[in-house]
Order: sequence, then C-alpha cells, then structure tokens
Amino acid sequence: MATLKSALDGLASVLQKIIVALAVTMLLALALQVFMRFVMGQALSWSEELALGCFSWVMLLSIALGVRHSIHVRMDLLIDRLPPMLRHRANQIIWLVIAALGFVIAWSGVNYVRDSFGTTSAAIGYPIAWLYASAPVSGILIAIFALEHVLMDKPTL
Amino acid sequence: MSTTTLILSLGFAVLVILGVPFAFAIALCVLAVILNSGIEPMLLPQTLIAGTQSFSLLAIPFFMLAGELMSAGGLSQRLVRVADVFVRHLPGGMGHVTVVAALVFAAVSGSAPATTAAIGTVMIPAMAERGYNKAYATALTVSAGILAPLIPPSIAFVIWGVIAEQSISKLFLSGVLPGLLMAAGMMLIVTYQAVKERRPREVRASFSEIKSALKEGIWALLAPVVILGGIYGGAFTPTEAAVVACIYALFVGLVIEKRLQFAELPAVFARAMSVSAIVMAIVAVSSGFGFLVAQEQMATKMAAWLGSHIHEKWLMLFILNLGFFLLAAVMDEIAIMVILGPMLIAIANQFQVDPIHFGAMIVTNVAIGMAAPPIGYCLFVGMAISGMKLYPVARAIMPFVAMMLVVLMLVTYVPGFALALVK
Repeated sequence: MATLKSALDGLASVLQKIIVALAVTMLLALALQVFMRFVMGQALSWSEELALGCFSWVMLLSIALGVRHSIHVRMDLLIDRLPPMLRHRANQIIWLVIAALGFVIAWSGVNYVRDSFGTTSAAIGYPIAWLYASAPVSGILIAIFALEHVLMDKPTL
Repeated sequence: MSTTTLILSLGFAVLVILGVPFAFAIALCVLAVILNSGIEPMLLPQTLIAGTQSFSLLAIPFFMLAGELMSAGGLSQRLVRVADVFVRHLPGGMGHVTVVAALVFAAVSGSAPATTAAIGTVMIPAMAERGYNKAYATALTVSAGILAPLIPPSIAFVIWGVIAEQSISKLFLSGVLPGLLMAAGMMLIVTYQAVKERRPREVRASFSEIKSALKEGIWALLAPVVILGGIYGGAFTPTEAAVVACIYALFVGLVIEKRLQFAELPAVFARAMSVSAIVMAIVAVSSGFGFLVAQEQMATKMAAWLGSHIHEKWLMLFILNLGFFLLAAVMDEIAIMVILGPMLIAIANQFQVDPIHFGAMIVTNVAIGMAAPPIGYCLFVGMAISGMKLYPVARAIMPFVAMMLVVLMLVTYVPGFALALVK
C-alpha cells in the first residue's frame, strides 16, 4: 500500500509539472499573438491553435488530478448525514462508479484517437491524434485516482 | 416520456442527490443514454475535446490566473488600504472598505469565490479584531464576492456567452449597473447596521495617508484600466484581455514591485488551473449532455409546454427566477446554467426577451446563488476563512440576500437598467 501511495504521489507530481508547463506555453503563445499584432502589425497563424491544444490537455489533466484532490463539487447534504461507516461505503461506491466511467472514457477514447489517424490540424498541421489523445489519457488517470480513493480512504468521524 | 428523457432528468437528479460530483453525474447520464440507445460511445471523449476547444472559454483559466497572481503579489492588501483611506470614516467604516475593495478586485477577477477569498482573508480577521461580529463580517465578504460575476470581467458571463452564442463583451457591460447597485445596497446595509449598533466612527484619513496609499496601490488600481480599457477600446477579445492581465500581473509582481517570487509561480499556476478545472469539468461534459437534450428536443418541448400554460411574460420571468433561486439551493450554479441553458434560451426567444437582457438576468441569478444558503461557492469560502458554522452566517446574510433579490427584480422587469450601457 505504501509503495502504491508513493508511486501515485510521483505520478501526481509529474502531472502537476506537465500542467504548469502547458499553462505557461498557452500563456506565452497568446501573449506573443497579442504582441505581434500590436507591435509588429502581423497576425500569427499558429498561436491560437497551439493555445487551444494546450487548453484541452491542461483542463483534462487537471480534471483527472482533481479527482485525487477531491476538487469536484458535489451535493453532500445527504451523504454527510449518514453514520460514518455507511458514509464511507457510499463514498467508496461513488468512487468505484467514477473509476468505471474513467475506464469507458479511456477505452472509447482510444477508438476515437484511432479514427482520427491521418487527419491533421488546420493551421499548424499537427496530427489531430495528439489533441484527441488527451481524452483517453484523462480517462485512465481519472480511473487510477478514483480507485486510489476506493482502496486508500479511511472512514472519518 | 422516453427513456432518454428519464435518464437525463430523473437519473441526473438521483445521482446528484446521492452525492456524485456534478460533472461526473452529467457524464454518467450521457454514458447511460449511450448504452441505452446504442449511440457510439465515442460521443464521450468527443464531448471532452469539443467542450474544451473553445477560444472564448480559454479566458477562464487566464482570468483565474490573473486573480491568483495578483493575490500572490499582495494586491488585495494594497487595494484594501486604498479603500480604507477613502471610506473608513463613514459609519460602519470597515464594512465600506470591504465592499469598495471587492468592487475594484472584481474588475480584475472574474470569479466570485476568488474575490471572497482575496478580500475575506484580509478583512474578516481585521473586522473581528475591531469588534465586529464575525458572522456579520463573513456574511459581508461573501456578499461582496458576488460582485465579481457581475462586474466585468466575469467567468459566468463568458460561459453564458458561449451557451447563448451572444457577444461576451456586450454581456459584460450588462452586468455593470446591477453590480454597482448591489455594491450600493451593501453599503446601505453596512451603514444601517453601524447606526443601529451606535458604532464609533474612525478618523478620516489625512492627505499624506491618502497619498501614500495611492502610491502603494497605483499598480493594483491600474490593472482594471488595462483589462477593461483593452476590451472596450476594441484592442482585445476577452480572452486576449485575460492573457494581457496575466502578463501585467507577472510584470508588476516580478519586475516593478518585486513582491512576487519566481519560485512561487509554479504553485500559483497549478492552483489557477485546478480551480478552472472545477468549472471546466462541468462545462466540458455538458456539451455531450446538451447534444442529447437537443436530439430529444427536450428543451424545446419543455419550453413549449411552459409557454402553453403561462402566457404572461412577467409571470414567466418570475417563475424562471424563482426556479433558479430554489434550484441553486441544492445545485451548482454553473451546472444549472449549462444544463438548463438551452431550455431557458428557448423560453426567452418565445417571449421575445432581449438576449443580452436575459443574460444579465441569468448571471444575476448565478451570482445570488453563490452567496445564498445553504450551498454556494462564496459561502463555503467565507466560512472556511472565518471558521464560522453555516447557521450564524446564513442568518447574518439574510438582509444582503433580500437586497440582492430586489436588484434581481429590477434587472428582470426594467430591461433598460441592465442594457443602459450596452450600445
């Protein structure tokens, strides 16, 4: 269990670094776009597409990482009124369902990526599969972090 | 009722009540419909990509980041100090300081909870120290936070603009007067409380004090000028303005004032992305939900049904407001907006409500929902800062919520009020 936890800690910290790097990239791309238009008087063709690609990746990775940190809002008025053990079981079931959803997103996402082979983006011309891959990656990460809750969470009083 | 309709309405309600996070409840309903009707499961990943490939929505992480960068650079303290020298001598001084500081912060940040956090961490302890009731101080900062969705820039207006396919710049403008009126309402309540409690007044700030506060706060005060000036000078789109706001905050924090440390930046970026992901999770999965709702013609049928029973426009708008307010007591406001958006728009079209005016009404509802008990983002943030329980804060916030509802009625029934600044 302890090794599993430290492995997931490592995964989360790598994800965090990727998220920050992508966020910086999208900020710089659009900052350059504004700068070029104002100061140089020319429009960039690639900046918006690059920023949007980073946006999908940043958000889908952050959504998955958010599963680990339980950032996603929910209505807990009812579940908080259950006795501790029952509440714990109910939460485990919810995490299990979310993990299943993550697997479905990963599996259907792989097909989605496969279907896009050969297509390239409009402005830069990068393979569109690079963008679409964010969905299955997010799905598998959602499943991993949800299963971590199922296995590791302890009942709280 | 078809099975799909049942899954998307009743199924969703059950999942939410059981405590499944809103974003996953929406995605699970989409999955259930896929399994039930034999739709290609690729709709799910497709939804996630389509829901995040929007240049307008890209404004959300950048406005979050701008707010985080400015808080990390100590901007909220300096805004509070500027507000302090101008309004502290009024009856209920500290309360006015809170409202004015939140108002300026709202012109940089588009997020209500971020504004409550930025102003609340400074003002709630300060007010408690000067003998203000802590529940009242919490209620006030929670209320002041909801100025952020109304005063541009606003994340709620960005999302509504994308759903309703309306100009985000115009929508921003429609929130200005309702926001200012709410701020005035809050200051009125603050004054009334102070007079009722016979609270002693603070000494008026001297000229040199004002000068030094302005000198310290000048970069903070210029931020809204850069952002709003950029959008309405026609220079940037709202998304570009959000980017410029981040660059401005970075430049001021790192180079001019040097209060932002380079080593803090990764944590600030990560926090901004995480907070944005809370909102974007709901928005992204909703595009698939919306697709199924459209396929079933649920929105148009529902709108037609309501329209056949309710013929008066004023009554329809009243019911929409009441419905939103009640729903916001149990549900996330952004989720209400994205899920019911198609139906609300169909109704608005049927009754020929101006789309910008309607947007102002919806976002005013969103703002109120964030402060109104029992659940609301701002409410939770305020309670976390002060360590107060729900009940005392909920009691203290009642006069503020009542005032907000009066403003909502004005927004709803006097279209010219919200539209006055929109050309």
